[in-house]
Amino acid sequence: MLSPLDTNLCKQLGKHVETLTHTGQKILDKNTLKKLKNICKISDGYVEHVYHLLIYQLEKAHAEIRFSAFQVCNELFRKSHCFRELLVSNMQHVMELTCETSSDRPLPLPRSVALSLKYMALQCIKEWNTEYGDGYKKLQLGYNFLKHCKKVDFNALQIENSMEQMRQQEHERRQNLINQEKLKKVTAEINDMLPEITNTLTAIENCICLLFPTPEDFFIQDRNEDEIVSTSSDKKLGPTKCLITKETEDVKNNEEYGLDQKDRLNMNDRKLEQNRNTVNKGTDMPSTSRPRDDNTEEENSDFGSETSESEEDIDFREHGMLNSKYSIEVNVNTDSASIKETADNAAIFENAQDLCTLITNRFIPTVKKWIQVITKASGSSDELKRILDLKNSLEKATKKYAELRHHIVANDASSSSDSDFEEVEEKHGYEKTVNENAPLPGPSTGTVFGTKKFDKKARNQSNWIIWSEENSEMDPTSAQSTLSVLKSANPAMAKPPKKVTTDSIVASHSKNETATRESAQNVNANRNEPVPSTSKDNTESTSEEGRKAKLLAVAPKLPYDIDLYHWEDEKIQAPTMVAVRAEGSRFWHSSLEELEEVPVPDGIPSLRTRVIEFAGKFEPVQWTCRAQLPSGKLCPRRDRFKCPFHGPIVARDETGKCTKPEDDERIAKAEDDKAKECPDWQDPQLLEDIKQATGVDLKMPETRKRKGNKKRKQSDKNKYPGLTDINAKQNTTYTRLSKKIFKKGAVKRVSRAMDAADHKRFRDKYGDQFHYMYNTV
Amino acid sequence: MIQCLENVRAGIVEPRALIRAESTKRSYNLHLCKHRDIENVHTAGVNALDVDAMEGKYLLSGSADGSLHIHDLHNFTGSPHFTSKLVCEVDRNLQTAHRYSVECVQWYPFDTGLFTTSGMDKQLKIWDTNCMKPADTFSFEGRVFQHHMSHIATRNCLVAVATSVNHILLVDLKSGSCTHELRGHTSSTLACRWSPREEYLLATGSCDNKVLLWDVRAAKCCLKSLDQHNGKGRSSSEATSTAHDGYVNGLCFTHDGLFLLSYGTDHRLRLWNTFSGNNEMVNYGKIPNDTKKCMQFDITIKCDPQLVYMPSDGNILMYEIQTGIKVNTLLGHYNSVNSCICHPFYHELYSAGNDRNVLIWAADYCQSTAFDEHLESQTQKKESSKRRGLFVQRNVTADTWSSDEEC
Repeated sequence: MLSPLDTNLCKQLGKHVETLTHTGQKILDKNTLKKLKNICKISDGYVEHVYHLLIYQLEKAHAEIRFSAFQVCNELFRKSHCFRELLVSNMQHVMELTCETSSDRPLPLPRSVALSLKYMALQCIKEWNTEYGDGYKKLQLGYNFLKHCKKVDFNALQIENSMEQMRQQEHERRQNLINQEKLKKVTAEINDMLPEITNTLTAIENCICLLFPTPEDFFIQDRNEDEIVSTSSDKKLGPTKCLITKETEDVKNNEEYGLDQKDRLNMNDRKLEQNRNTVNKGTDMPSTSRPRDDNTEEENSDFGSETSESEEDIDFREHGMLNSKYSIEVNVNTDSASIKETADNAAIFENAQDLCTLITNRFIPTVKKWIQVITKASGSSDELKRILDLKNSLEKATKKYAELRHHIVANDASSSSDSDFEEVEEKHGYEKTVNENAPLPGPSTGTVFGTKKFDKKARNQSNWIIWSEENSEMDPTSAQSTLSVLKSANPAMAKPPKKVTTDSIVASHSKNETATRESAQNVNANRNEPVPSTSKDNTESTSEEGRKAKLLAVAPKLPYDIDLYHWEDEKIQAPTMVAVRAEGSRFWHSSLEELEEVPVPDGIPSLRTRVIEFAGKFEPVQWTCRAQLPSGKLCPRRDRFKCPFHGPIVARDETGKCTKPEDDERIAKAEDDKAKECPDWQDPQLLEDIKQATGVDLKMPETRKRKGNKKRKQSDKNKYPGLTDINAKQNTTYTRLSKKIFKKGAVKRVSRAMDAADHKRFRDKYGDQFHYMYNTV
Repeated sequence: MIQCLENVRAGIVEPRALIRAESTKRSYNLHLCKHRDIENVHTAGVNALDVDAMEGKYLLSGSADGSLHIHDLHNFTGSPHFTSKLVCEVDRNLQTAHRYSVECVQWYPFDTGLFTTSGMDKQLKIWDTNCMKPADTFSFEGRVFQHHMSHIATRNCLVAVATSVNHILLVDLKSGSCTHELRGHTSSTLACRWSPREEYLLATGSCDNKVLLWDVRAAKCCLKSLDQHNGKGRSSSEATSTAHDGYVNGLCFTHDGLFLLSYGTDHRLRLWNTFSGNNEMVNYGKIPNDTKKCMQFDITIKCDPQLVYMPSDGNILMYEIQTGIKVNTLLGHYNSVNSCICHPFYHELYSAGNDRNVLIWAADYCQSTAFDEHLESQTQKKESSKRRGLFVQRNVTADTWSSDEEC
């Protein structure tokens, strides 16, 4: 049969296989491969030998070796029938080694090469199957096994973990079911809640409309609106223009006389001050000069004979205009508006507030939840669109309401402060009496009684009102103060309110003065010319406080302690204590006299002294050691004076070298000393003597031994320089540290220390208890 | 073979000798069959196989996912190239199917109209083949590892069931009830086999390392507990004697019923004399076996040195029964093999494993030559394009050392 194999050739084969597989290259060396093939060509015996050699290499735990070995296998597989037979018969094992078919035996490191090995192996098996599958049944079976059992997608060429895939599918399916269920629930919920939501929406819309009518609600046509904005007017356009002014005036008047019944009946926008408009006039301002009665009368007639009025020039006279050659400019300031909250619209406000909270707290979260569920369950887009629309409208409504609230604030605050006013007044009287009875305590205790200042102020002012600017601003709870803060923060914002004041000046000319207007006037007055007394008061207090603050800033602060407690006691009684008897019992006394109190030694000084612990101030270390490490990096340790590895901290440059040469020298010297240093029993002279006397060389071979180890390692590395060193990875900081930390001795030491700490704690706490008495715990 | 036939015709050689010679030759030369396949329909590992004893036509297989499949083995195509088609199946999703893995399947020995299956869902199902529905279902307390019906029983119709409960149960199909409970094992029973010689002789193997022989007519206690040391071991008493040093997870009688083979997780195969109950002390060597459930293995028919096919991990090992010599290793499965079954008439072996394959092993050499001839006759008829195909076909297994390899 087979002729006996030539041992030389076999040795050569072994050498070739080893060189081929240990290069670490992705491409095989062609010459060596050729030599190998030439030997294999001689007879099948060599093929078998090579097969065993290759399997041996495939089994090695290094992905690069396996990669190269499998490449050689592939070459031979395409050449030799014998090799095919052998490989196919052992296909399962080969697949395990190269395709990672068994989860128990993952491919070795390095991972990247392992992955490419897997990829290549799968590709090769696919090609082998198409080429040789007919002749080798087991190859076909293997291919099918990979395809069906291991779920290899030979187009994508990757083994997918079938179990994981199945689990994922199952999970997806279940999730889908859950989502569908949720979707169903949500649709039912939507159907339930939709009418409620829409009702709420319309309700809040209506509320807002009632509180804050849109321009369309006034009797202004669209075209007129444009003209309002226009600054110059034509002669011909005069009549309509005038009408407009009148209307806007009406509006304004209505705003100002918001409480007037008649006006309210006339207009549907009665609770609204829509326009804070500055009316710039060429000459006079018609409305302001006009008496009130006239105005109302006119209004009544206005709506009756609108057309006739607009047609005839003469009608202007009724407005106090002599002829039509007035150019009237009306700037409607739409961006700032405010609403007063009155008893009449309070119900609407309340309702709107309720609705708004309902929307924000209930509807919007639920709608958001629906959207989430629907998007997850990939429900119908129509539904989703509908819900999104709903959400948008809800958000719009809340936003609108929030804006409305924003506009309300000022008036709201005034009304609330109005009501506060009375309370404060009452309090004044009450406190006054209190103040008279009791001597005035220091300012530190006087937060309650601090209102005295206000009291004075009230006396100074003939007509005190809470609305007074400074007062309300001082009071941090009032909205006025917040506004003032805002104003100071944003000077641009401060402008519109001034317009209000001018407005109100204008308005003040009219007869009817309501409380609010009065207040507005006062605001104005305060702002323009502050009351001298109060301001004075202010400056005085500020100067005093400033000095105090300065002093306080300098003064040391100490916590309250026993020495402060006895600060003013001239004569302190020394604390006493009950002497403990020899018997040690608290109860077993013959008489009360025996309960003698003994003064505590150093009793008085102990009450006078204060212990202040000086704990310095921690200053973090600003510098790192920055000595050069073997890795090329710089030592990152931050020691204050001395690095445990690199000695005293010295100035170093960017590369980690000492900037001062003397430092360098010193370090080098220290290192030399360390190297030369040997224990006295290793003194070379002594050793020499011993050797001469006994003939035994006692020199420690440790350094040499270490070197030898290193050499061997290096030789191993040198032998196959192409291979990636897998073990190198193991030597990370983590492993090194863990080696130290989890060393048996270290663990023992730590546990001993912890045990001792535990023991100490128990002894301190429960030392008198029987259970802990004998150190059993 | 031709010589032999001639001799038979001349009366020099007995016909039986020819049969024996030929079957022995084939049994020794089993290879993975290149031309015949079983249609791959399994969606999970195949645990059990059985070929019906009446016609040898239907292959019944039970999967680990609870499904059952029946393949038609007969090849009427006229070509050696043949794939056995699926005849019928019980899908795992059917209400009537086993809910968990099917561990054992068996045809009714006298008719293909009925078969029995059992599995991890603690049920034994009796199926009507014609409508593929269970005619009867028996539920047990433990998971069923194996059940067996006697091939020679004529008067009774008993099914022995080995479950994870300690007792062997006997189910009488005639009355449709569980009639006997054989108590003797101290741990879950993994295997049970009726003797092909004695109608009432039953052998059972268990996790307590014992193999017990029972006479079911006197079910009070076992007939004998097989002792691997033949009474010479440290424990000589009947109660403590063990057949293996591990679980006994496979049993098989020789066809004459004179010997019993037992397979254990101590990686040993042992041969027992059923009359004396002695260990025959045949050394088969170590056969890796780590499965903790029933392994099905089979013995050749009409073969002179009888052979046993042992599933062991991913391979099938062939041993001579009387000498313990390992004849061959059949490589083909890619995962552990669960079941080996010999065809009752042909010298073929069917094996199934966790890689979802059912493989046919046959003595191919004569068939392959026949196939080549068949191809040649075809090519003569057809044009040259076919010939090129043939050329490629033959080239597949040839060496292709290129001449430019010289350096």
